[in-house]
Amino acid sequence: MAAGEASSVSGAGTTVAGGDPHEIGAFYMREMPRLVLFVKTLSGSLDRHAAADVAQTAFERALPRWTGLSQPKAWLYKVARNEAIARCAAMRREPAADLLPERVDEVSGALAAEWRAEQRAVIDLLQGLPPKQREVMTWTMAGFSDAEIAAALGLSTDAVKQNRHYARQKLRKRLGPRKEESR
Amino acid sequence: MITRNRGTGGHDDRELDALLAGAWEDGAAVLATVLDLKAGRTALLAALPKPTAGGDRAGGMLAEVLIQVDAMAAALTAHSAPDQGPVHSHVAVFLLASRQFLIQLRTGLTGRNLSKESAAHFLAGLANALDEADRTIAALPAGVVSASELAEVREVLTGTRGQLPELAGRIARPFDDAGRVAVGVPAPVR
Repeated sequence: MAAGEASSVSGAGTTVAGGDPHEIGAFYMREMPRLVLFVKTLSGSLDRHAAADVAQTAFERALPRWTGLSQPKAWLYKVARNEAIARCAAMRREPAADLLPERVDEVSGALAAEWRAEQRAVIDLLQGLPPKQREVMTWTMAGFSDAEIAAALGLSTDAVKQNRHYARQKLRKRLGPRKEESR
Repeated sequence: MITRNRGTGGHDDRELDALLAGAWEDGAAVLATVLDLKAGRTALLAALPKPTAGGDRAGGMLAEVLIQVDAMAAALTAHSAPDQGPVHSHVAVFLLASRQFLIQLRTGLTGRNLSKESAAHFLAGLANALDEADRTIAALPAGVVSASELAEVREVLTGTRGQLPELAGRIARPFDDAGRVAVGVPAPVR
């Protein structure tokens, strides 16, 4: 087998050579911030620390089986999504008195400082969508195809398109006036 | 993904896509400056396993099957509670049966003791249960149940059924590679 031939695997437009530490390291550097953003947008309630922990956990789980994954990026994001859902559920089950004191969320601060207002508003609005629409839009923004989103969420591709259509309708409606006001 | 659909707020899909892509890339760029990526990469690569002949690929194949089975079972579970409406009540028993077949598949795969015949039996049972659910909602009198609830249940049935060929193909691969019993597939690493 030629170097990088059949051992190279792809997902959502990203190609990673299976098992090569340099390739995995490069993939991590490129994908980790996007995965943290994905987890944060999807969950809404997880702060940067928790979102980064979820993303790192997903990478650690993917690593032992990296060479066997035909779609490593899709697999990574599905694991991160399931882990985020589990942590959110665990947070809801915790009695209020046992919750950790609110931590300073550096990312939220950094995002607030560096993101342009309109772009920050986009993510805020995305987090305000109904769960299924938010999921479909977040997966779409992370670069996945309709078929990949359908497989990850257990939906038909028609349902993916329909949810995205409704999500866009809502986003357009809510973004329109804001844009006008900001001019 | 891009169309010229124009909403009431003044953004069309092209503008909206550009806005979303810009927000996403900016967010990722900001996060890249805040996260300690080098430390994370070092920790990750320190755990890099030594390559084994064929084992990693088999483990990855099994992991992908289990992820798909879990996602399908989760979708069915979410709609199996009969208190979600009359349509759900009518099909709950079939959704629960479908889920049970998935769980049996999962148990056999993770326990490495699933025979090819059992896999075929569980997949056929799953397809039959989905068929029964389809027939049940088709027989519901028109106008008695809400269209949105009907559409929601149909979506779950269609989504699950649509994944069956892929699932069957993934489950068949270890048998094709390693014989009639999936003993060659390692259990997933937790």
